[in-house]
Amino acid sequence: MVDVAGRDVPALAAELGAAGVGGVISFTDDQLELASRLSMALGLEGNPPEVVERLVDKAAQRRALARAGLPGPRFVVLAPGVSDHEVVHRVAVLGGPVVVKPVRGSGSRHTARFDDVGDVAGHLRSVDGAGSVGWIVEEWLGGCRPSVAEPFADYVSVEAVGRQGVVVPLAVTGKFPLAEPCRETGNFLPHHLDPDVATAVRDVAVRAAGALGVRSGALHIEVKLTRTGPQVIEVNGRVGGGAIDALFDSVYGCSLTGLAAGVAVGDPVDPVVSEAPRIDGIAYAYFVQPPCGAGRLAALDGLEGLAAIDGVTA
Amino acid sequence: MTVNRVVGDELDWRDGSQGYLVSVRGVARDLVDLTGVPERVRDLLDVSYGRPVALSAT
Repeated sequence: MVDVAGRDVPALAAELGAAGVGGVISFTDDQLELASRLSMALGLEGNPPEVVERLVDKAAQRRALARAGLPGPRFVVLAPGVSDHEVVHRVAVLGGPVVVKPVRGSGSRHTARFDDVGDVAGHLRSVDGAGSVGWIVEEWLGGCRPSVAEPFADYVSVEAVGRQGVVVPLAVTGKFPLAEPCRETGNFLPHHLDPDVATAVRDVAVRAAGALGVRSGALHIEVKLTRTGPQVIEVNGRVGGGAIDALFDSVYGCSLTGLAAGVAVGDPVDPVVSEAPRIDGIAYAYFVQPPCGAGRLAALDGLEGLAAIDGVTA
Repeated sequence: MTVNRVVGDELDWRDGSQGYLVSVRGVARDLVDLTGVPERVRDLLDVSYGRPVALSAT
């Protein structure tokens, strides 16, 4: 084991190279930059730092997607500590509803949807300090025809792996509807979409990865199903959360984490790995979110009954 | 199932998706069966909430 704390990249690369390390991979957004610099220093498979910047910085990502001509929402980027007056003035052009996110962040932390843009300034005051590199405010992408998504969420994700600049989409993951104000409640595989919609979703996801210059590694690409076709919500340079890796493993018999690690050491990606589900049914992970206004958990009973639900495995 | 919050824990929506209480994994027979999962889980749970500790103490 090599402790990276407080050490610079050249010193780490020298030690890792001497140890014969054949691949570098990160499973969190926070370590993507270090993984990139180490893999570049060692001459290994990986994404260059400028690509990682577009993966972890939501503003840089939106700009890159727009430059590449991908359809997407209008957006405004706000600096940390922005005044209420400036928020009101700049966000007004978006109309409503909007979604507000930290420029860097994951897991929907400090992320919220507002029907009225007049509420954005108050929200930013309440989460002061969370957006250390600023905020991005986006138009809320309108949902698709109800028949396409209901009763599930009107967005999905594409799980993919890139190797040497070729991005292979491996699965489209369906979602349970969001909890207020923007929290995820679960995933399922295989997806519920019509084949033509799923093909369009995979296509836009691969185009988005290309627009960011992604060369390597796991990708979790969220896509909204809008009335005018699928549009990218965001591209993440890691395996998706919400038990997606476990679901993928249970359905297709291999893990996305394992595939990404294989790519890091030069293994090819077999696109047929996810062509045929190995289970009869739909694997799901459901997450119970507390109401927005809840401040403390006072009682939680009935857990023993959950294991008795037909089909529950874990 | 996974229990992610225990009685007494403070809750804050700003924690995002990772602030969930409980997760359940399983296999549904079909999309109709899948549709009923959230309601089945919520019907079995008996959950109550309080104000944040800091506010309750004032």
